Amino acid sequence: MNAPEVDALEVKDVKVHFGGVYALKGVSLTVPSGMCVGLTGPNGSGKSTLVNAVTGVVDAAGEVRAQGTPLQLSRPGRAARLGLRRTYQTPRVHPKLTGIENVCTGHRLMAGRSASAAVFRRMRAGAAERDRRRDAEAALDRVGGSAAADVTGAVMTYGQRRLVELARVLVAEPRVLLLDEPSAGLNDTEVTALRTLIADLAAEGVGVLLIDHRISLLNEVCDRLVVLEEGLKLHEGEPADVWRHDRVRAAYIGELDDAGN
Amino acid sequence: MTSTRASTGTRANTALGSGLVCYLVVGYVIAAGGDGYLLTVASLAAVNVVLAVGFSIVYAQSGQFSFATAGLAAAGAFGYAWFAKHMPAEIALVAAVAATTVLGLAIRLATIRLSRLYFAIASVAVGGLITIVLVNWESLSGGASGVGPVPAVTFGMVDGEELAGVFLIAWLLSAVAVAAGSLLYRSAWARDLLVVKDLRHIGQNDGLPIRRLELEAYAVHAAFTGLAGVMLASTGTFISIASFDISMALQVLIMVVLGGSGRVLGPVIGAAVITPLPEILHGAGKWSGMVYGITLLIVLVALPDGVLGLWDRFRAWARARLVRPGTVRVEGGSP
Amino acid sequence: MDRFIPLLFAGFSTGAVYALVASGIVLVHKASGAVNFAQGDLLTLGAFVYLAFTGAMPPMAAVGLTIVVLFLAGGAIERIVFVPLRDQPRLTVAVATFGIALAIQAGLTVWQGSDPQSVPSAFGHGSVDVFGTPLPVLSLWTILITAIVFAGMYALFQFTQIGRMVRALAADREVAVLYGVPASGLNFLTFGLSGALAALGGVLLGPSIAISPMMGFSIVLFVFAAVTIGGFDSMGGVAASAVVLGVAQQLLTGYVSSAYTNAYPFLVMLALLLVRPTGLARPIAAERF
Repeated sequence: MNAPEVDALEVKDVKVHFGGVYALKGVSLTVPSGMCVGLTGPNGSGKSTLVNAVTGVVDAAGEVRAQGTPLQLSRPGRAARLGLRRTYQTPRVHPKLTGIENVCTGHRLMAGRSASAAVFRRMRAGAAERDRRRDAEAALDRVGGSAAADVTGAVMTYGQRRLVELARVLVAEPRVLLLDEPSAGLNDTEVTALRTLIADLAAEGVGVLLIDHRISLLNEVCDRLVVLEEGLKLHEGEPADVWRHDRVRAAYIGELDDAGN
Repeated sequence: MTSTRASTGTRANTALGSGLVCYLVVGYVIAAGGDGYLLTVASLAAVNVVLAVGFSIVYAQSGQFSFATAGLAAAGAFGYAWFAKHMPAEIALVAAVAATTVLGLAIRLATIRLSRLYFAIASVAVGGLITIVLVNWESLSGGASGVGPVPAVTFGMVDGEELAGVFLIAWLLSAVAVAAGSLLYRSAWARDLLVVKDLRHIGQNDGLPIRRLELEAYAVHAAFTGLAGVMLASTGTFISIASFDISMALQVLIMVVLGGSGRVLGPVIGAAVITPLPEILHGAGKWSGMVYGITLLIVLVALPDGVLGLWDRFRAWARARLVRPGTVRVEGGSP
Repeated sequence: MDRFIPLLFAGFSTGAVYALVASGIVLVHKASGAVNFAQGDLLTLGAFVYLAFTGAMPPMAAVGLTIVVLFLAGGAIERIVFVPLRDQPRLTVAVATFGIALAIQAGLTVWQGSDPQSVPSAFGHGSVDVFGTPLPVLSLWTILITAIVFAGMYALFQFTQIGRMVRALAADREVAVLYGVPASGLNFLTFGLSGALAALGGVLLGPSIAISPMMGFSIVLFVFAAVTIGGFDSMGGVAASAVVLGVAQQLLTGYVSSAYTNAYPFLVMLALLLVRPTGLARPIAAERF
């Protein structure tokens, strides 16, 4: 790796305003490629809003770059074109599609996915579909969700839905990955698997922004930690340093006791 | 419960193939033995099958509720009648379907920024507007008196004057529509449409071209509906704008809701059940409208998944009953 | 110029009636999020019910009784359609109200036959000279009554407990329910109230046109044009839109062509939607009234 790596995600002074309130008052952060940056903070501090701003789902002002390319804000779908994918606090899969089919919808290969291809170019559509399925199986396998491959979303367990959702974003081979509380509802074994997965992804050069409340996970897998409070960046640094910071401890003191982490 | 859709392959293709063969045999039997009355009803059934498949794709699969059915079908019917004056019937068919598809695309493109509910409302207006324009466009629609006689589509295979032959061609066209519908339903495209329908924001964030998919679904709907209009003109020989009203859209809706979604069999069942209903209810005369309305209500409240949904649930229940004790079940539990 | 004032006035009058019907749709939507496609047919039902009563009793009594009957009809719709379909997507509920609309139309056809009939006016006949132009008395009453009704509804929403609860539901349904707002009872009330509004519309509109069981559909289309422009949550916006559409329709019919009378509201609506896909009412307007 000779050339300097472009940052996976660069967020500069992003502000989000709705309902008469500033949900984000000017937040900046950077996720370098191949690193995992943690994003945490009390509930309501704006973590998910930041993700929504980056993906264009809420109106936002400021500057965002994904892989060095400027990203037009307030336009859904733009970030996806630049190789950015996100997961959600509550995993959602389509109830009528199987795990494999759900994952296939996230695949970037669009060949054969049109009405005319379905009727008139069936050979080509079939070949592309086989490629997609193969990749989908591999992605499900990688996250440990193969058991959910042939089960429809309606009957999946919560954990299975999480895994299918993860596979769905991974099959797109994203370069920037925003994970929104992926460890919620997982047991210790599953969290360990998640930690390994994130570390592997970072090693492959993906820039990961990890939003989570599980402090042990954040400490183990993040190279840097950003703490938000009420729409502003409270502190940023290596995890160990961040937790020693007075204001961070003050913001979290109640939550630490409750979570017992 | 495993997926009821066999997205790849041979099992589904065999099912489609054998289904189509049965379908064609039925058509042939009706053509060979039916009297004028049966042929008329069966022609209507063929038209309704095409309408239902076309509506099912845009509503049940992509979640777009469009009430412009009558307008699009009228465009197809009168377009065909006009084209047929200047070219062979078969070319006119293609031209009319193409023109209706373009019209549908234009409508959807113009309204693409509307939310689903507003689009539904706007589609009623558009359908109505098309009808009003056609009524006043005398050279195209013949005004109140209509247009006719309209040449029938024959593909050179049957006598255009003979009711049974013309019906058979219409039946054949509907079989083609069913085949196309089946391929569409089992495609990766249809899968993407489901995401557009129910998981729109997730699809956006995953890079799905939401608007392109919605437009495509609507274009397919317009094509099918235009074809249905052509079939109406071809089998009816005489068409007037009066028969293209809002009840058409309601009827199609009932067919699709009753039949169930997810497979092409749903709209076919819906069309098969609803088409003869006015005839059966004719005895009841004035009550037929109420039966329609109440049927729609009952189906929506009690059978939101339609006949197909009922059948699927029955199959899952039966499978659960028939599993031998001690067998390890690989599939997920029943819903 | 001669024609202008009567046309303008006729526009205000029809617009007023449609505003009444439209307010019923907005009311139901605010309280329950449902869209009631049967609203136009409720107006038709109101007109026919009034016709049935008016032979047997003084006009005002007939009006009052019609309003009561339609209130119950609206509530019945809520119980029959809305309650069982509570968990279904809203489009399903809307489609179900289509079924109700069909059923009402068909029921009316069975009861009254499909020939147009005329309804006597409860509010006087003939015309009155206003600034030199003869204007129908009924139209004057229509505008006056509609204005009073809207003023009453405004007061209801701004100053009463019930009104506040409905506004809370409209603003954030989940939170309102958590705070103890009785959504279910309010739904019944608002559906019923929308029925009553439709009844009033039927009584006011009936005498000036020949009523028939099938007219509900074109009414609801017009009304939806008004609601689309004015916004589903704004009574004021919807009333204004209905009046504007009514005036536009009358003026265009009088000055341009009467062949397209029924098309004008849609043309206006479609044109506006193309320019502003979210309708004209600003979202903030929803918080008022």
